[in-house]
Amino acid sequence: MNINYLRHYFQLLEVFTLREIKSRYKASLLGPLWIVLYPLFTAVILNFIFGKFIRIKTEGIPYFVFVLSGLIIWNFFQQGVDLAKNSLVWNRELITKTAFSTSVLPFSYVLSKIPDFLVYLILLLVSYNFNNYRANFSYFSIVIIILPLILLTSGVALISSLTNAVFRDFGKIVDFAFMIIFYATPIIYPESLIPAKFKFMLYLNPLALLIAFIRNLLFRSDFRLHLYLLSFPMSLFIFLLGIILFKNFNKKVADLI
Amino acid sequence: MSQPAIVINNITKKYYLEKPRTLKKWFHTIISPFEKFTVFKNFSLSVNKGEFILITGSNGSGKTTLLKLIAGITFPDEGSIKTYGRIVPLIELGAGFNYELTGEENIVTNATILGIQKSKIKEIIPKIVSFSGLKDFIDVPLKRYSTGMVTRLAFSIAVYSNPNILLIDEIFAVGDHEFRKKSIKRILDFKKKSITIVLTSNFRIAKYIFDREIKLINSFQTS
Repeated sequence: MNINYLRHYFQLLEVFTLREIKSRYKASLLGPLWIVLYPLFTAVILNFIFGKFIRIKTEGIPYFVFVLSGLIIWNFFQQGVDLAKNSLVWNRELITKTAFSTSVLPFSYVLSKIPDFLVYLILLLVSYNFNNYRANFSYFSIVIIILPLILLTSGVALISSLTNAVFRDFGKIVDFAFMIIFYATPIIYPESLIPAKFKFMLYLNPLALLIAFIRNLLFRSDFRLHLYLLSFPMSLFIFLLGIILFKNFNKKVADLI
Repeated sequence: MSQPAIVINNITKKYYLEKPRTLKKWFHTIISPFEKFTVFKNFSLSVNKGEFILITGSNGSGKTTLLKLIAGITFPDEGSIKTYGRIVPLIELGAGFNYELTGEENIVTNATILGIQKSKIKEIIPKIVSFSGLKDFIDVPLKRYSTGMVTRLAFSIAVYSNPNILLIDEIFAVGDHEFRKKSIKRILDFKKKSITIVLTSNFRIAKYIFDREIKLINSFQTS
C-alpha cells in the first residue's frame, strides 16, 4: 500500500466510472434523459398504486413526494448492487487477460450511479416545493446521506460480485433479497405502520435509518442526527466484510470466474 | 547484462476443471471442490534484463498460463515469482475494450490499466493515434472498427506504454502484412533498448530475433 499504488487505484476508479457512465447511454435515443425519466416514472407508478388505489396513510404528506424520499435511497442501493453484482462476470475478459486491481470494477459501477442520485435529489426537492413545502438551498445538505449509502452499497456490491462470479446462483439470490429488503424497508409505507415488536429491525437496517432521517428532516423539520450516525456502523461493517472477502479471494478470481 | 528481470522459483500451478454439477456431484464438491489440472510442477525459469525469450509448445502446454503468472493475472499454488520493472502483458490485443466508446476513450482506459499516469496518457495519445494510422477513426465508436483496426489500436497503445518487461501471446497471427512488419520492427527496437520480452508462438520465428527458446511439454495429467 504505497502512494503510487493508491494513485493508480484512484485513476483506475475514475476511468472505469467514467467509462460506465459514458457507455451506458451511448446507444440509447434519449441518452442521459433516462436519469430523469426513470425515477419520475417509478414515482408516478407507485403514486398511483399505493397513493391513489391502496391509499397508504402517510400522516398528511403527499404520497408522490413521500415515496420519492424513500426511493432516492432505495434506488441508489438497488441499482448500484444490481449493476455491480455482474461487474466481474461482464468484465471476464479484462480480468483474465490484463493485470489490475479487480476490486475497482464493483466500486466503479456503484460510483457510476452518483449522477442518478443527484438528479433524484433535485427531483425530490423540486416536487417538495410543488407540494407547498418550502425548501431552500440549505436542503441540498441532504446530499451527505450518500456517504453511508456508498459504503453500504459498495460492501454489498463487493460481496455479491465475487460470489456471483464463482456461483451464478448468487445473482438470483440477490434478486430475491432485493424483494425482501424492498418490502421490509419503509419505502412505500411510513415506519409508523410497523408493529412495535418489529421496530427494532429498523435499527439494523441502514437504508431504513437513512430514510427515517430524510423524512424527519423534510416533513417534520426535525434534524435527527443520531439516525444518520447510526447508519454508519452497519454500513461500515458490511463494507469491511466486502473488502476482507475480496482481499482473500482476489488472487483466485481470474481462475474461478 | 546479468541483471534479473523475471525469476520463477519452483512453481506449481493447477487449474480447476469444471465438471457438470448434478446434485450428487455437488455433494462431492464439498469434499474436493473441482477436479484440478496440473499445468506446472516444480517449474523454474530465470530471465535476464534485455533477454528475448521465445516460448513454444503444443496447445494446452501452458504458454499463456506462464505469461499470466508472470503478469500477475493468476497466481501459483506453490513457489514464487519475482519480477523487476513494469510489465505490459499483451495476452489478447484489445482485451477489455468497450465497443460503445470511441477509439480515444478506449486508449485512456487501456493505458490506465497498463499503469500509465494520467498526464502521461495525454502526452502519448497523439503518438498512439499516428502509429496506429487510425486518425480518421479515433472519434468513432469501436463497434464500427474492423477486427484489424482494433488490433492496430491495441498494439499501438502497448508500443507507447513504455514497458520494462513485455509479454506477448501469439498476437502476430493478426493484422495486415504492412502493420505486422511495422510491429516486428518495433519489437526489435524494444530489444535494442534492453526491454525484456517473452513471446509465445507456434509459428516459426527467425532465429536471429530471439535469444533463447523454451519448449513446454505437458502430459495433460489431472490430479
